[in-house]
Amino acid sequence: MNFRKFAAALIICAITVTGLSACGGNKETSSRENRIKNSEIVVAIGSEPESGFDSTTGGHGSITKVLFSTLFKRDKKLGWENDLAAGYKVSDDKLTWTVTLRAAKFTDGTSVKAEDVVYTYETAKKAGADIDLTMIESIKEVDAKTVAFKLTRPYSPFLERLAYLGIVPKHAHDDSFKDNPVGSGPYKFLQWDKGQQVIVEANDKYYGETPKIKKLTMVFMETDAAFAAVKNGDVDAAQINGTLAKQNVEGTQIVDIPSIECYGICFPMIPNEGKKAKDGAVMGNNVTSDISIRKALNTAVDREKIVKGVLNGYGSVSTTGLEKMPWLNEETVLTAKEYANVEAAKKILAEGGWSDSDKDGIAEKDGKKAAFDLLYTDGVYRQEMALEFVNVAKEIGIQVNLKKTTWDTILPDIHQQAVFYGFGSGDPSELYNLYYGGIAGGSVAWDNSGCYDNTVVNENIDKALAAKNEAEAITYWKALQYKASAKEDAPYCWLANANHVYLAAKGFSFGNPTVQPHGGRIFDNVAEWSWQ
Amino acid sequence: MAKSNSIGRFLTKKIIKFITLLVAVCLVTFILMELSPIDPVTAYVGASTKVGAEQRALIAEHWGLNKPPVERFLAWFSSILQGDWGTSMIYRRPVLEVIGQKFLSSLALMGIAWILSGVVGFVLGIVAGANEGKTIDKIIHTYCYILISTPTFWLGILFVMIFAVSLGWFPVALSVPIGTVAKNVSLADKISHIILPALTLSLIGISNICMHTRQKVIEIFTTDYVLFAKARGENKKSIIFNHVVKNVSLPAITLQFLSFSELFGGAIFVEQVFSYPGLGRAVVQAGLKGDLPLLMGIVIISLLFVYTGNTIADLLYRVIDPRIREAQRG
Repeated sequence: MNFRKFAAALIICAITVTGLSACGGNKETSSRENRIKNSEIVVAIGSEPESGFDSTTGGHGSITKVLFSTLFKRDKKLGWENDLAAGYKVSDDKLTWTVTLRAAKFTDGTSVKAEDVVYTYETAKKAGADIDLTMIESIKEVDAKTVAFKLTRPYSPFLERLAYLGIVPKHAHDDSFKDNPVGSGPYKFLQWDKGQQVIVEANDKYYGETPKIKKLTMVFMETDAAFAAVKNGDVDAAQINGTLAKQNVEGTQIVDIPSIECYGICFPMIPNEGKKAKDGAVMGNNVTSDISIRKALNTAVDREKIVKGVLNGYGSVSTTGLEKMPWLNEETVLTAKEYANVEAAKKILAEGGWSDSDKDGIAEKDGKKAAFDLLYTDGVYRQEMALEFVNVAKEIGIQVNLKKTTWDTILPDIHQQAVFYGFGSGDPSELYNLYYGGIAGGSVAWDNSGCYDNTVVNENIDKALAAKNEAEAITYWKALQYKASAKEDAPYCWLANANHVYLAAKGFSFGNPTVQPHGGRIFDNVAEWSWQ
Repeated sequence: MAKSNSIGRFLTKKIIKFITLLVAVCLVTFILMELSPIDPVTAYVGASTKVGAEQRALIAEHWGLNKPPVERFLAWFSSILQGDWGTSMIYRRPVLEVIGQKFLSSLALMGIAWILSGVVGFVLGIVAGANEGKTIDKIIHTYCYILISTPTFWLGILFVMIFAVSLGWFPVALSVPIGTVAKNVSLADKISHIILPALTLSLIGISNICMHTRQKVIEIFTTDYVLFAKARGENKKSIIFNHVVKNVSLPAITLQFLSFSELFGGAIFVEQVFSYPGLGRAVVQAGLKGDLPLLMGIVIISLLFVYTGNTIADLLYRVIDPRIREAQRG
């Protein structure tokens, strides 16, 4: 073959290939209309559960709710409602939780029985799942529709554990289950292209509200790819960063779902006296352990500005980390006059003995400068919010050095410098992780990393955990907030709740979704999703 | 007889080298992972507040992370020798199964890119070299300089923006059509999904081959035998086909097989950008989440891959150029 022939062949190849795909291209443009007609959608939300869809090993977060049903679930206002369960009772010694089941069927046609629940929880307890079931002593089948969980200690947030694991059928749970899951959720598993997508179809045997969307495809893409895919019509909805929301994409809408995903700064609460945590990290900071520093910062930061500037308005002010949660103690919320007030903050510092005597812009007290590090990790909005915090601190004479780190490398400094966190699990027992004195410096370094320890708070947490159920515990969860708020000890400086922002095709509706916690719970009301 | 013996000796040497290299690479990877601050358990449970200290210890025990490093390495290494590659922590299935799945799709991608970049690079290199200093040469080598300094992922994103979003010719991502059940997926669908990633990967590879070939062609054009051919009155076309192509193909082929390692590295980026399922994405996951068995598995496979490439290059040398064979025999 001579040179010219070869070049010609190359060009022909190229043209054929382009032509082939051009046909595909035309098909794609109308694919969204086709999906609307057939009540189908494609979403790029959430990450792939690489280990498969075996809910006894956990790890698929909110996607669990698509294929499986859990015993209980959080309702729209973060209260509780029954899901697979018909109800529950807690024994007088608070150690036995008896759950009764409703009539429900797995997608293979068999009924959901008590033995399936027992099996699911026993397997998860043994399997090294990402859920802590160590408080369970034993699980017993009372009759075909009743299960009794015996606990080692009273534990009021136990319902949260019963709302986490999707129930699997004992008879079908074998090695291939994770690739071919069978559940009792609103959707039935069809296909999983590993590393790419999961396709499910509406489960006609579902006991709850019949899903409006007949076929749901969840694709796993990086944010940039997902954004591009919504633009060209391959995908109908994707979660995006608020900063992308300003781009006007034809044929789409921005869906802004309120969240309790709260960002805040944790201060080391004790002076640095060389005390060490379990992993050997030094605890304490001589600047942030001074209450006037913490209070001044809490008073100075303009949360409105953060919501408008950093979050582009997709969020709300937070001064407690608990806004929108039923267990919020409203008296601890800072009013609009109590923050964004630089003058008042300066006054607090002066009263606390901090003054800038050498005129370098940084206040001093007893020979030490008002300076500390703020450690932050990768994640949306984090750097921008932290920068705003640094600016405000500078205005009142506190020098905050911003340091980027990772959750792996942060450990040696986590107890001796301020740390930027995102919290908001929608579970009151998170307050234990945030404020309980006994766990500071323990084996989970970010639990109460500031080493806050207040007897009143600790006592209330103990009482809350030992309560009969969540309703009874809420009194104590509320009570502990007095001391742990910005008005009293100020162990944290809470900044804002970042809403979860989605780019979705016009006409697509998420229904009325649950308030979104840290990490998201978008699939909780998947049966309500629809094309309008 | 002598010939097969020397090939046998050559391969034996290569295999022994491979084994020593394998042990060394495994050891280094393991030590690096040990030194890295990543805690697999934390990476696995994430920021979940539902997992307490007790449960963390349970997970660590479940994965055998509570044993001392040396013991873990020896246990892992001896089971590798017995053909058991262990179980991936994040995928919760045998490492070989994970690699098998991922490698197949990566292989298609890398295969296409490899052939494309080789052929196009070679042809462009000859065209540029034969026309040294002319406009066509300037265009080609400017193009190569630009490409060689282009980050793969950036080129990928650019392609997505132009060909997938604006023009809509190709799908944005994945290797199969979104939302289509496997039995309805046609070959044309699969082809249209592989074009953009394969094109991205091959474009990057072209410049290397092209620039080397160009340089070699320029060198050949100054040799005595080309001068002699010119003197004989052979035209340029005949010189290229009779003298240049043969002489330049040897270094080009070597380069082509040596490019296995770059191909592998490039695939990691391309697969990330196009959400294309392959070994590249798996290795990123394994590294970030501290999934030691999987990472080590991929290291071994990629070592095998690159090493095979180099060995083939060496073998082809011997086949194409008898002088090398002679030299080694003597």
